[in-house]
Amino acid sequence: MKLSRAFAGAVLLGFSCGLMVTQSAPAVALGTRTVSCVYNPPGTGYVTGYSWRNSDFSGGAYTNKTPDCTALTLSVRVKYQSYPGGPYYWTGFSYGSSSVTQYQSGTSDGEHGVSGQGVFST
Amino acid sequence: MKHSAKALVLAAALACAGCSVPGASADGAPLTRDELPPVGPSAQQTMALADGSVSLPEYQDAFARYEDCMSDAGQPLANITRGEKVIAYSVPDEAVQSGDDDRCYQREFAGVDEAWQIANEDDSFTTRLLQACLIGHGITPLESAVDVAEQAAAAGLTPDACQGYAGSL
Repeated sequence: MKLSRAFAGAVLLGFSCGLMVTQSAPAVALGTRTVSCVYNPPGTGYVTGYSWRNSDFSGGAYTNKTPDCTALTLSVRVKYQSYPGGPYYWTGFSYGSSSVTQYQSGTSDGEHGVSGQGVFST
Repeated sequence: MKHSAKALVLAAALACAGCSVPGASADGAPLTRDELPPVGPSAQQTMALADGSVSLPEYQDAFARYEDCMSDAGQPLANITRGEKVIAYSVPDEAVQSGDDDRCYQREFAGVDEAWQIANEDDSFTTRLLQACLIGHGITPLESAVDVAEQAAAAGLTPDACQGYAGSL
């Protein structure tokens, strides 16, 4: 059972958003989410992020923090499938201090699912 | 499960409305790290982080240990590309679901990976992409990752809108 990396340490928070898609569509943003800096005092800021998928079967995940968010680091990784029926993989984590993006290029003419997972340390 | 842990899971679920919190038991109850054996950093990773900075050889060595751990678990990493500074790779979803990835990553690589990438974020793919995107929109980019991110946000340039510049990097 995979657990969120949030629970690997006392200061890590993890969220995984179910943004898997199965249909082809051009330049479609898969969604936007807003995640508060949970361990910070209420009202101190937010981290926003989203995943997307483009018509060339590439996609990615992105997150950033608002200026008043006191999270120290952010990270995202992308889950993808290179072709229909193929195995799913995750990229490695991409880290940043204020904004971070992880891309994953498509590899074939199959459908390409992508979702994002953000980990925020404070 | 401790009440505090349950509260955290609930808070996370509420904060990410419409999303799922990873890690749930067969009956749907969220699990926490407290319910699994602890995963601490290896002695080698602890040593690499001891002086407060991570060198390229330390980053590469830590990745090699992570890679070996995954292979030993029967879940070898795939699509490994050793870039000038950052190593790109893929993890089988089965390894993520089984916990092998979490165990190996936390023990051998997580702290070093984060420290290395943050220390080099001014030259990261994200920063270079946003700089190229800013130039493409007639804006002279600044140098630091933080400044570039702020410039891009102010200009309304999102990473997916800038993805077309990836090929120029």
